[in-house]
Amino acid sequence: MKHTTPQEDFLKGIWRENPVLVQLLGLCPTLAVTNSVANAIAMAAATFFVLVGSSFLVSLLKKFIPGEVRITTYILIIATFVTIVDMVLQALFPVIHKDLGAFIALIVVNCIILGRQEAFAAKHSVGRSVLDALGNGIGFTITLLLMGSFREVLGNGSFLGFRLFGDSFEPWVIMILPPGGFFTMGFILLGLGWWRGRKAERSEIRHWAHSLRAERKEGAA
Amino acid sequence: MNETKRPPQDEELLTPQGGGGGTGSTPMGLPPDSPRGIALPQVEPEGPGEGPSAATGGGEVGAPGMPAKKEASALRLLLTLALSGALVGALLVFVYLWSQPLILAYQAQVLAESIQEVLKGPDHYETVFVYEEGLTAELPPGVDSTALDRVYLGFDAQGHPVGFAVAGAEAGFQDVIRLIFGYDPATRQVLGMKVMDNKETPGLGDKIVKDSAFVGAFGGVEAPIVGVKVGRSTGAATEVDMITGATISSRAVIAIINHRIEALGALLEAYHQEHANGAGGGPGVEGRP
Repeated sequence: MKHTTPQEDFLKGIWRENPVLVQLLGLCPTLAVTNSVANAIAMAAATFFVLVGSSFLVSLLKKFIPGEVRITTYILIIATFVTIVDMVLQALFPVIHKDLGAFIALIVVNCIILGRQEAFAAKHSVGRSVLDALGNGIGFTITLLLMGSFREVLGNGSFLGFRLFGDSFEPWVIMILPPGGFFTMGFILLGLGWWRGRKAERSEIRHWAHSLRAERKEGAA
Repeated sequence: MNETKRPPQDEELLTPQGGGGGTGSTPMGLPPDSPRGIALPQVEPEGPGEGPSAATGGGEVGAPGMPAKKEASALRLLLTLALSGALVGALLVFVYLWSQPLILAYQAQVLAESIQEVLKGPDHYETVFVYEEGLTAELPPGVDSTALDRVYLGFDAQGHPVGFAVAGAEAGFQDVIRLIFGYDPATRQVLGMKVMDNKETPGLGDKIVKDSAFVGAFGGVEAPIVGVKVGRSTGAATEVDMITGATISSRAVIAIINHRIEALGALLEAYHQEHANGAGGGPGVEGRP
C-alpha cells in the first residue's frame, strides 16, 4: 500500500481514479437514471450521502468487526443508510422518489460503495476514509451530471426542465431511452480514451525531443 | 467441519487482497528486467521503492486480517451481527415513524389535488364507498373501509353534485397505469383525466401525462370513449385522438375509463340522481339526451 497524502485521498476519486469513468464501477445507476439532469442530481446526492456515511461508520468500527463477517456488516451499514435515504426522499421529495423508483434501493449493491469500504475504509483512519468517500462521491456526481446533461439536452431539448430550443427542435427520443445511456457512456469513454492517448503520445514526443536535443548538445560538445 | 473449513477460506480471501499485489509484482517485475543490462539501473530504484511499500502493505493488511488469525469465536460473530442488526433496526424504526406521516399526508394531498383537477374545481367533495352492490357515503359501523372500492362525489358551492372522481388502474405498455377521471353521470361526459402513476416509456408512452392535447381531449368527451388515430377523427363527441407512437398507452387510458364507467355507471347515475334531487331538486338530468 502506497503512502498517500490526505489531499491525494480526496482528489484521486474525482478524476484520476474516477469510479465510473476510470474504474467503470456503478454503471447500472449511471446508465439507468441519467435520463434527466434532475434525476442525475438526486441519484448522485443519494449515493454521495450513503458513501460518506458508510465510509465514516466502517472506518470508525473497523476494529470491532471480525474479518469473517465484515462484508455482511458493511452491507448492513450501507443498507441502513440507503433505507434512511429512501424514506427521507419519499417524505420530503416524493416527486423525485417516484422518478428514481427502485434505483434508490439498489444503491445497496452499488459496487462503488462496497468497493470503497473494502478497499479503503476498512484499512484507514476515519478522516482519510471520509476524504476518500467525498472524492469518490464527487467523481460519481460529475459523471452522472455529464451523462444527464447530454441525454436531457439531446433527448428532450431541455436542461433541468427548461426548454433550450424552439419548437422546430425534434428531440432525439432515443437519448433518454436506455440505448441512449449506452451511447452517451460509450462516447464519453471514447473521448476520454482518445484524450488520454493523445496526452500520452504528446508526452512521449516531448520526451523523445528532449532526449534528441540532449544528444545533439552532447554531439556539439 | 465448518470450523476447520473456515480459516482456509479466509486466508484465500485475504491473501490476494493484501499481499497479492506486492508479491505478484516483484517476481514479475524483476526477472524480465534484470537480464537487460541497460534497463537495470532504471529498474533498480524502482525495485527497492516497491519492496518496502509491499512490505508495509502486508503489515497493514495484517490489521484487518488480525481477527482472522485470532480466529474470532462463533459467538463473537453472532453477537456482532445480532447487535448491529438490532441497532440499525431500532434506528430505522425512528426514521420510519418520522417519515410515515409525511408520506401519507403527501399521498392524501396528491389525491385531493387530482380530484380538484379532474372535477374542474368543485367546492368540496365527499368519499362514497361501493358497498354491497350500492353506493353509500356512510358505512355501517364496524365495516373496514380500507379494502372497499370508492369514488369521490364533488359538489358546487350551492351543494349540487357536479360529478364523480373515479380512480382506475390497468396494464399499460410496461406496467400498470393508475389514473383518476371526473365523470358526470347526468351528461355521460368525462370531465377530465389525470394519470397518477405510470412507468410508460419516457418520451413516447409517458406522453399520456405530458401531451396536453391528449389530456385535454378528455374534458367533455362522452362515454364510452373511442380512440381514433390522428387525422381520422369524424368529429363525434365520443372520440379522442390517440398519441402517435404511444398507441398502446393511449388505448390503455381509454380502456381504463371505459371499463370503470361500464362497471360503475349505473350505480353512479342512481346515486347522482338521488343526491341531485335530495339537494333541493336540482335538475340533475336536464342534459341527458
